[in-house]
Amino acid sequence: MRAYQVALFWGGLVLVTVWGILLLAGQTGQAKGSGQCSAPYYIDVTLPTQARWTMCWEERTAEGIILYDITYTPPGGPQRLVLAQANLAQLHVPYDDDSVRLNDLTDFGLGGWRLDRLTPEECPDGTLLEHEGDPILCQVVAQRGYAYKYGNSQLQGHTLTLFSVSKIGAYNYIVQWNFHDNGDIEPTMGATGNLQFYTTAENGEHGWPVNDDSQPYALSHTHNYYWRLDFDLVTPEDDLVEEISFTPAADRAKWSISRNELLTETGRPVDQEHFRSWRVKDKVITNSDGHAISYHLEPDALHVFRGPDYEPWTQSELYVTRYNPCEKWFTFNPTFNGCGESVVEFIDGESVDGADLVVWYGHSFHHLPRDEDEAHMHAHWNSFVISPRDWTAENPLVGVTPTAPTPTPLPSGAVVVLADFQAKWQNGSEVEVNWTTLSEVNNAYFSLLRSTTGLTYTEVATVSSRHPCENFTAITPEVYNFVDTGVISPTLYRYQLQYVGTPCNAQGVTTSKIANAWPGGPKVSLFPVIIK
Amino acid sequence: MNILAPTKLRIVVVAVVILFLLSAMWVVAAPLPLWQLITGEPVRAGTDPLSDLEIARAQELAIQGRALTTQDSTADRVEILLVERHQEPKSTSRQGNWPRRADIYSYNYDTDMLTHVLVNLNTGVVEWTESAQNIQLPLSRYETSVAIRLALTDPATRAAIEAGYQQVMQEPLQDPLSQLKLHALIFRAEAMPDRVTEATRVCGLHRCAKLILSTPTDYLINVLPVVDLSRQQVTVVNFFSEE
Repeated sequence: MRAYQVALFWGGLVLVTVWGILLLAGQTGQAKGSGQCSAPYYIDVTLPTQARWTMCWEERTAEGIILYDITYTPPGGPQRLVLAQANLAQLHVPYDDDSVRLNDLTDFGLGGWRLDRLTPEECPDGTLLEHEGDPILCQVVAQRGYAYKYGNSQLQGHTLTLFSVSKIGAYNYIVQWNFHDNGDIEPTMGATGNLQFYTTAENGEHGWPVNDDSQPYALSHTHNYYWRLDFDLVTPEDDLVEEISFTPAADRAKWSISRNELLTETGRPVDQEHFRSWRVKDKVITNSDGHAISYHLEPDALHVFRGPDYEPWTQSELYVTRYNPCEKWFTFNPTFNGCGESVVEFIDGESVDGADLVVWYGHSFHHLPRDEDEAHMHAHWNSFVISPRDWTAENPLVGVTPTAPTPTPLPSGAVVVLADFQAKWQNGSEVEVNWTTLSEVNNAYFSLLRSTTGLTYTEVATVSSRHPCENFTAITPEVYNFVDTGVISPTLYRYQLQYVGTPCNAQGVTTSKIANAWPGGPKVSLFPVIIK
Repeated sequence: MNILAPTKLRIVVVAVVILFLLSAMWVVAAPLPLWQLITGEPVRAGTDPLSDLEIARAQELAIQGRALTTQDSTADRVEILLVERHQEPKSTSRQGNWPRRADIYSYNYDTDMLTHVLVNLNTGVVEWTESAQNIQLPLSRYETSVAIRLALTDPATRAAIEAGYQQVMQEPLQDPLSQLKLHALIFRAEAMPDRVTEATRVCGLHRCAKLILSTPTDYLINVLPVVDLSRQQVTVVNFFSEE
């Protein structure tokens, strides 16, 4: 063999190997299943009753937590996609005296810095899921009572619950998803925290007296929760919404069902007198009885809110639109490229017959304050359920032998919840690094790491925990500080913390998010606003 | 002669074909950026939110590409409001694999223009830029602090806040930043068209913040200032008493 042939052979071999590794690495980043996400953002839970849920999650500034590619597998299968995407799409809070009308999802945003960092105590028997070191989503499996009972035959059902908490003014909103083993999906909102707005006795017709000061009345208000449910029953295509209602005979003794297909984009109000509900069905796929598979939405119409003319989207509870990637939020949607500003503008006569469709559903809770709402409000809950209808030919939970729930393993390393972690250049000669802890469990000390490239980090200091090896939850958060003088100006340094638990009999280290020390101030201030 | 011998030619052709096929696989599979693979940084894919490093890289790419400012607006007050993963349309996501792309939103307070820049983190290319008025994203943390500072340094607003505090607490307000809980939110005239006045009708086109103030013991201070961040001034001292 000649030299150039040897070179070509080995060169080719190396090339193929490198490409193979790259391609393999590209794939291993993604968890298996229908979801497209890596392991920290992938949820795959088989409940003790052998029903299985899988999905991906993402933190986003407006919506808080978005769930993607939700699949349900009843015991014995099959695994099917239900929703391509599910999230809260607006949180509208008009006060009864028209002093304030909030649109929390776009006025504040439920994600980003509004998302609460949860402590292990808030997620008992569950697992805290993290984004960049921040524990923001609790995942827990719990019993839900009877799945069914007949004579001596019974089964205790289970639920996978996910929740996050968003701090919006004085309110804390708990955005929760319950995934039951029977296939029910229950989007849930809890509102707690403190009452926000008060008024005078003269304005008292709009509230309820709770104090004896100059503003004794707490204002009544409505929480309108609007959800975006992008149904993809197995595939994006072939879906259709059917409205189901019942009409009484003249003597009101007999009732008859009517099923009305919604063929074009539309908004539909609740109609409790006719038991109106809706189901999303697949036009092609059937269960083994030959019935179309579907998910059914029975509205929770505790209170029905109809607002002023300038809130036309309060005139219906359910809207069906054709999927359009720019239609993200129920109201105050970004209008780039002529995209509609609210759901009523999304409705422009497009066909939703066998189309890729999106269901928007709103429900309301009118909150009349009471003395017990102070100092902190009881969490008040609102939820609705979307349930399988003919998803399987019979109850998939009958005949299941439940497995023992798997206990959640204790954290193996130190667990620290940070409220804040910042690095700042000062005097052009040193970098001040600050961090604040809300809780520390099994943490002996902090190892502070530094990097110039963001690629490799080296330790610059160790800082002892003020609560070494304790199970510490802050009433007053602990503030730590380190001044790094071994730096060269002007350089962008990246800092990271490690929590070291080994001396506390907790194995290994866990790592925090990254704090950047930008020369000349925070990077987000491209051209800082000048306040004169 | 310069012409390759048949054997050599075959080898070269085979090598070229292999290279071409591998390149095609690379494009189709859209694997992760090399820098992530080499460094062992947490691998992000699909619908994963952007990592802090990806956010920093997206900003750097947008700034390098001069995508956030127009040619003559470098003197303007421009602020990055948000960097977030680009939500791919379903036509892309259903193909199963796609590059990491980031949306960068910046706001120009002089022209009241929100600019959206789409960068491809895998290739480093700025792929899309668009600007529009009347779109207001939630306030950034920095904007919140600016709005609070503007309200507290406005004499009329400061006086109203001090009077409100005195009424609730029966003692003077000494240090607002430590004695008050302050929340800020975006305000658009469109949300309350029946209640806005001449001063606040422009909110929505302008970037306005409403401030909610309470004591650390959670008594509401009955003053609801509206700050126009585009004009850098308080436009309404107390929205509650505007009629």
